Amino acid sequence: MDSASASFDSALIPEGVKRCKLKWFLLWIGILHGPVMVGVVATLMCWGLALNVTYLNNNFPFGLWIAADLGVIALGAGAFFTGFLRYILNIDELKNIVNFAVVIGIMCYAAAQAILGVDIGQPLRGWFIFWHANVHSMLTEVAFCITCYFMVLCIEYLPLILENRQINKIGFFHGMAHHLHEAMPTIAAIGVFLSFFHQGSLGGVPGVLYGRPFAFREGFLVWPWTFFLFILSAIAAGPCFTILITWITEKFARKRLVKRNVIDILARISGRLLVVYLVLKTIDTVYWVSIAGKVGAPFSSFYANHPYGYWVLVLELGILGVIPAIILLSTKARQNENLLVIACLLNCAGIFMNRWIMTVQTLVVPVMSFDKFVSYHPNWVEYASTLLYLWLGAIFISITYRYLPIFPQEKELNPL
Amino acid sequence: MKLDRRTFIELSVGFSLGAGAGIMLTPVNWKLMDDMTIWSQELWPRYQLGGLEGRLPQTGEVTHADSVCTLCPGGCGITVRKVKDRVTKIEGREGYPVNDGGICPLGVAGLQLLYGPWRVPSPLRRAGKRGSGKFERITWDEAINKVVQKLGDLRQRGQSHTVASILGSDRGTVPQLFGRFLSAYGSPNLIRTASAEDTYELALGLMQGATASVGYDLERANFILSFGSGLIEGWGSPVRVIKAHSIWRSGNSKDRATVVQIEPRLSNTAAKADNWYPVNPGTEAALALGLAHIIVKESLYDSAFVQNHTFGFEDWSDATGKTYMGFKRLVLTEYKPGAVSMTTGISVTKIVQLARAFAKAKRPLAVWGRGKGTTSGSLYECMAVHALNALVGNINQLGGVSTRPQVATRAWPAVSRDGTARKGSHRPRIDGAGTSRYPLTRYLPDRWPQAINGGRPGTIQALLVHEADPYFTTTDSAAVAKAFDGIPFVVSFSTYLDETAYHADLILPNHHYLERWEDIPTPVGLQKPILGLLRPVVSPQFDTRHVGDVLMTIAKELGGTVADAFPWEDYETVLKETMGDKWGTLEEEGYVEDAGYKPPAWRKAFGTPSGKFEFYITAFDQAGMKVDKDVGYLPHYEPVEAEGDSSTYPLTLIPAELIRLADGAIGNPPFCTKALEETELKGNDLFVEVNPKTAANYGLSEGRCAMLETPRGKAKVLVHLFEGIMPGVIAIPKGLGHAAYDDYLAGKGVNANSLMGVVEDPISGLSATWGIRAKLTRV
Amino acid sequence: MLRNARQAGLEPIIPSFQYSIIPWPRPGFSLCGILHLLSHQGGPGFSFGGIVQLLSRQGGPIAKRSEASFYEGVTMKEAHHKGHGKTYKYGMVVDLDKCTGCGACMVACMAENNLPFRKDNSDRLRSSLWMRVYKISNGLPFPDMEISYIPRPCQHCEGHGHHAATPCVSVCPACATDYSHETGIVSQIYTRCFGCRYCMAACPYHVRIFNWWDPTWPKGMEKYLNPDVSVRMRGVVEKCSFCYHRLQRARNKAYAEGRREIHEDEYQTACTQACPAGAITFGDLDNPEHKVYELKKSRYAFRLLEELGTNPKVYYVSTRDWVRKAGDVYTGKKGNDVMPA
Repeated sequence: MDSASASFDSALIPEGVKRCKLKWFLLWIGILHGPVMVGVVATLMCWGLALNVTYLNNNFPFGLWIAADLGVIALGAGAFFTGFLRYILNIDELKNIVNFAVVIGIMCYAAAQAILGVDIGQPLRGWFIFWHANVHSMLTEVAFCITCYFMVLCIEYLPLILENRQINKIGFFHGMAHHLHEAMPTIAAIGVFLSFFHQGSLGGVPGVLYGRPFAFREGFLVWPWTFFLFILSAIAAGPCFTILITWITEKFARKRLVKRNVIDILARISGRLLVVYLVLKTIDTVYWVSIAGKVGAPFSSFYANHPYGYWVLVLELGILGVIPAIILLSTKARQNENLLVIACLLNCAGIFMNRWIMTVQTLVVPVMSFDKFVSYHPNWVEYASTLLYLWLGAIFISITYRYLPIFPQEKELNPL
Repeated sequence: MKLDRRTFIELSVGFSLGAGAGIMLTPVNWKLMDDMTIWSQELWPRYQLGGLEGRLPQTGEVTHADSVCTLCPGGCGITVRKVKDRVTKIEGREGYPVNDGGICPLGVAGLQLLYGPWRVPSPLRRAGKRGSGKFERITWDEAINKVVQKLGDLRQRGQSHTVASILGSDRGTVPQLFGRFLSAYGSPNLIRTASAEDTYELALGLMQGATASVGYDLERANFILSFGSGLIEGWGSPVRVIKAHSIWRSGNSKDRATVVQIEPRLSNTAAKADNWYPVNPGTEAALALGLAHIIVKESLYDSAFVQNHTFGFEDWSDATGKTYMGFKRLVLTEYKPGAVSMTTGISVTKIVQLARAFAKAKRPLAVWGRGKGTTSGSLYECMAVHALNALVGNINQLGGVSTRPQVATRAWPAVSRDGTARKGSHRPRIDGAGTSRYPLTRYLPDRWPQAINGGRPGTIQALLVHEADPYFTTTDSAAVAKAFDGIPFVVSFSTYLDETAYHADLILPNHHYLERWEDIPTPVGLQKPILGLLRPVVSPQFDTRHVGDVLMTIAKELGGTVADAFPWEDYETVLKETMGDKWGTLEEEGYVEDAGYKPPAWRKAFGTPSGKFEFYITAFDQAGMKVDKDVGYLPHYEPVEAEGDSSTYPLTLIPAELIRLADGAIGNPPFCTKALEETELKGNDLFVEVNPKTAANYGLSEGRCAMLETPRGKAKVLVHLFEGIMPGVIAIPKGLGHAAYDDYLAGKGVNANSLMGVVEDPISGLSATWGIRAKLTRV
Repeated sequence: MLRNARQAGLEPIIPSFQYSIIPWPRPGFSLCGILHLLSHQGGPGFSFGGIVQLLSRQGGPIAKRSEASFYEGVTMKEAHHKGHGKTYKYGMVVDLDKCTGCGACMVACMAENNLPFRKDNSDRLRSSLWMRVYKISNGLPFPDMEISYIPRPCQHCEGHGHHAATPCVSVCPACATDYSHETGIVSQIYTRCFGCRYCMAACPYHVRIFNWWDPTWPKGMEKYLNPDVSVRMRGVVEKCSFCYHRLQRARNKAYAEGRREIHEDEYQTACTQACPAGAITFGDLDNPEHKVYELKKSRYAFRLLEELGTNPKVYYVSTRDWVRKAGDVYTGKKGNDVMPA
């Protein structure tokens, strides 16, 4: 980069790559602060004025926040799964995207924890989940695991920071980064172990509710079938989310950051997992109809109230499940960038919808025969305090991309 | 510094272990964690609860005290739980003869009235325009002086008869004090607020020569025929009736009774009845007489009673030989099942079945008094229902109807009146009761607004109100508001800032019922004499005084014969002396009852001119009343028209009285408002019940906003589709629409009284309004 | 029948300590605690908080604050051991034929348990009601419509067989709610709950309420608050406790009088006591001397959502067939006869 067009912060920018001028970057970050401020105000309202500022109520203790929590953790599964594929299954090509997957993961898990911080009624007592842990509750497991896993993600992110151009010049940090890299397979393995459990436990959250025939599943020992379905759907959608965010980042950066074959690997694996998931999910749905029927809740009752009709099933499994599976399985379709992005979008939307269904629709379905049907939708406070993390995530990725060498293939794909 | 792998691992592990051990072993850490626990659990909440530190409930010695609830005429015994000097709970008093431990939702919520912000904290003088809510605190001396000055002034100018007093009751020492005061002062205008008692007293007076109200032996009846009475919605003494209802519903036991409810809407009472007869509103008397027809025709009546102890059943002739129609001929000719079915909307088969079932029951009992019994009602309707009781011979019998007895107390010495008092007391009452137009009625509580609005200015120059909220409860709120404007001096003795107090010039607050002594006469509808004692269970929370003391102070300061009429030192003396030899038991037990009381036998029971139960009322002529037709001397169906023409107002609006919604002199406490259904109140709007078919005609769906309009007023309401009400009829809850009290109640809903007008009963002059014509428009 | 706890006048003097904030038995690291842990599923687990609380008891190394014993010589632990080994199953039978829908039970519960109230309480989805009276109808048109009322407190589910745990207890991540095998009552620790609302999602009866606001009382009204029951702040879940504080008082009184057992009428809930119709009966479902023991066996008795296996402690009795269908699981808009009225 010639010194004439050199950025003010060019010393921090990784070697051999080009970044836009600092002033445009700061402008971008500044613009993002607009919606961020709205989200911050919404969050402060929740903490200051109490949760009556949302549209949650006693029929809907879970709403957008919980659905978003489950959704964002499912989508953040790309982090651990890519790590698993790279470090445990040794798919070498994925080393070019695994860093970014970690970045996405951190963003997702930070968002999940932050949303929990605003969702619980007494944030100051949130630590009681550790202090007075109930070993029988799925949420306890979730809390422990995502906290530990977040620490793992931070440890996985640490080498990226240490490899910043300036920091890396310090021998101690350079050495530390090197040793961390060497330890990465172990760290990744711990991540996989933790993720397996919390992804599953999140599935367990609705699955153990035997008071709610809509959500309840039998299972294997203490784990309901949703435990396994959630893990499967998470690893089916995680890579797609990684692809999606990479694509968006490439659009903003206006350059290719990762070779197509790397993307293709993820897409192909995702497609196959999605098919397996859909098959098992279909079996589970059929089985679920029978166990709900046993307690006197006919299948039709779950879809008897507007707007939750049968279209929900068709949408979740058909449009947002089968269609992306078809696209992702076909080599030709995968290589068509537009189709690929659509497939990833539909897949991620499908998984998010599944999380919404398992939390919010569970609460929508009346259980007592004289329960009035009530519907729920979030209000601006809930939307703002959730989307806050989208904007913060964008800021985080922007800063990380600008200053840290996340994409090993960037230099190669974009010779100066 | 170079970091090689070994050092890295050593450092990492060492650091982790060291830090871990350090954290676990030092007590500082655990103590801090525990402190955090305490802080987030207990100290932070105290801050968050708005600085309630010090105000949070302090514990202490627990005691119980007994008293009586006066929030309605039911007179239930209560036990109050106190922690130190605070009352923390009101519970029903076990073993009390009226309610035996049970309590109603209003009774439990009485504590919110004791400590609530709607309490009048001291004597208040109006400081702005009437109704602006601006008051300034004054001392008791100032307040009493003002009243004395005003009343003294009126008396001097020979205007003592322009003073009126509106009370919730006319029995008991406090109402007696008011009566005595007005008598000594020189005014005839003691007005008692409207209730079914008005009509019942009149009906019993006419048909039995009694000077008492009605008593029912509900517990021992086995067939209850209720003409629109809200038996489990607050009618009579609410808890007592609910307990009787439980006896009626006691499975297969011999106490089980059949309950039949006759009313246009599916109230709770109708819902729990064995049979619900949805009769066309206002036609209840026709049905009663239709039943009488069958009972008479099929000779199912109690001939022993009817033949030996009644007058006017058969046709009769007087000394001149003129024949008069008897009740028997009337019902047989005019109330054939076909015609009655047309009028009432009940099928002929059902009418016949009901009549037979009622008459053949072992202990049948017909009850009357619409809803909670808070409106006067049609005299002929009441008489028709009472006639049914006479036909089945249950007057003064087990499980039947009788007159309500009182525990005898010491009579007061007669009032010696001076000239002014005599002159004033003999003036005609401003409400017209007792005049030649309405010679038999004692109070006309719905007529006084008309008297002011239609009369000369200065009809009432001073109004004293106690245990009543006439501004809110009187029918036709627009007329009431106008009338109030025409009264230059209004004094309220209310404990709460109710509507009347809000529009008063002076408020001299009485103690709350938990803060004062008072005697509680036999509650409404009871069949045995019971005298209850209201006693203070807490010291007065505010600067209030017992109304008895205040009234006597005023009297004494007025001087002369007015002062002389009150030889007692204070109210407590009045109470003790009046209770006489009963005081000892009263103070110790909290009540005196005559459990073995039996109503008098037939041959001694009737004080009518004929000495018998009269179907044909001879008292009318004796009182010089003008009765139009022959039939006017007998119970008959005299249709009480609902105001409004049916083309402009195609629907009929009736009130719905709910047990969770106080609609009398007391405003609904927050706990009771909280208990209202989502189909009764939403935000600040109330729901009216509309049959889905009717609603469809106006394009109204559930929860839709609509404009309800009657000839008397209009209001925005929400629509609740209800299959329990007949098409063409709408029901509106009574008790909302307050503008006084405070944010917990004010501004919610609509006052049903503002939408209704007064339809005068032709004989009594009382309000026989049961509804009004209405229209609903979508907004 | 004496329904309130006064047999001979005064109740025992309870010095200043809100003992019902943390109802016993407290989970914690004690021999008892381990036995609790091992002996029942769905129970609270091992808790660090419990260790600290043990160490900070009277005379312990970390004395939290002066934890006065609430009746000379009787600590909570000893009181707990009073009935060690004997279990009770406190429950209710509600006669829906007698229930008039008056709501006295609702208001008595509000008054007894310091329930908050707001200027606008019409939104039932946000308003705090522990005992809630539902209004149901048979769904027929005029004039065949019938309505009934169902008073619904917390059902204090036990779970059984396949689902051996109370639905809400097993899911609470902070052990803020616990099923007591000794009394059958599901407790709630307001100061431990951090408001995740998982228990609310688990409960099919909607008995659990969340405090969406901080409670406020107009100045002066706080005087009627009951000192036996904690005042809850925002962000915590609360529910009917079968007036657990009354059980504590009754036991303390019995202990002070040297008795081990309490009589049926010494412990009655506020709603039972208030009901003017006598529709609610409360007692030990397992004790043949208690009225509920026979009442629950009525052939007209049913429980809500029996098929789900929650094993609730509240039985309802109705001779009307359509009302008994209220216990069924929801089958769709037109499926049941029972509808919300």
